[in-house]
Amino acid sequence: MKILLVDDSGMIRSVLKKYLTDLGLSDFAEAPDGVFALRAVAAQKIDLIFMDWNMPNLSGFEALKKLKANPAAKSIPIIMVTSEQEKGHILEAVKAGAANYVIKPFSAAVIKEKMAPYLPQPPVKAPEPPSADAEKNIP
Amino acid sequence: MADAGIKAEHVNPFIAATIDMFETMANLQAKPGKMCLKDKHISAYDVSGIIGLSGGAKGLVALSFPKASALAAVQAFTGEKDVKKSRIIDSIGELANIVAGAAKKDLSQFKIKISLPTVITGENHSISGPVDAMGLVVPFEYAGGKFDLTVCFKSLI
Repeated sequence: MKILLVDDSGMIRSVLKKYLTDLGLSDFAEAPDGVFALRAVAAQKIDLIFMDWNMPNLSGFEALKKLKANPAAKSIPIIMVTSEQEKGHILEAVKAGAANYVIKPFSAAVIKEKMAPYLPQPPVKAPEPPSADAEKNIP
Repeated sequence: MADAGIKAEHVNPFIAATIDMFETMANLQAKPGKMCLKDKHISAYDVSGIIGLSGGAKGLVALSFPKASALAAVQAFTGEKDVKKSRIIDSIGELANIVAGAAKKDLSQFKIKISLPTVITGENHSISGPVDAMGLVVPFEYAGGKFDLTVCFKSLI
C-alpha cells in the first residue's frame, strides 16, 4: 500500500511516517504542496493520501477537489489534516469527497483509528477442536 | 472597549495547547514553571518559532528553544535520529503553529487570525511584540531539556 503524505512541514510528514510505520506500512511518497501532490498522483500508483489543508501554491482543499474531479484519481481515499482553526471547513472537505480528517495535534492512536478501514484485517483464528482429555471430562 | 493588560485567561490556552501537543504527538510531559511578565525585547534561546496574532487581539506567540533542546524535541516528535538544521527550523515553526492554532478555540471571542510561522535562529536573540502589548514568558521543562513559551497579547475588543 503506497501512501502519499502531503504537507509543507517536513516535520508533520515525518510524524505521519513514524505513526504509519508503526502500523506496518513502509511505502511512502511525499509532497510539500498541492501542486507536487497532483504530480505525484499522476506519476505513480497511490493508494491513500494524507493531505494538509493549508499549504502554499495549491491548498489541500483545492488539490482534493482536483483529484476528485479526475476519473483516474477520484477513488483514492484522502484524509485531510487540519489545524483547529480550519476545523470549520471539515464539512466542505467531506462534501468535496474527503474520506476523513485529523486535527493537529494528532496522536498515533488517532492515525491508527483513521487507517483502520484501509488496513488488512488480521486473520480470524479458527477455534481449536476440543482435546481428547477434555472429551474424557464430559460427564 | 480595549483592555490594556494581559490576563491569565489569554495565556492559559497557549500553555494548555503546549502541554497537549507534547503529550499527544511525542508522548512527553512538558511542565510549565513560574511565568514572568515582560514589557519589550524578550530574550530568547537559540531557535524561536513565532506566530503573529491579529483580529480582535494583537500580539504573538513564540516557542524558543536552546539548540540541544530543539534537536531533542524534533527527534522525539519525528522519531528521526539524524536531524538537519533545516528540519529543526521547519519543526520549531510548525510546533509554534500547532500551539497557536489549538489555542484559538479557547479564544474564539477574539476571532484571532494567526500568521504563517517565522523562525529566528542565533544565540541571544530577542523577541519584541507590539509596543503596547505586554508579554508573558512561561518557562517549560521536558525530558529533552527546556524551552520558553512567550505570549504577547493585547485585546482589541
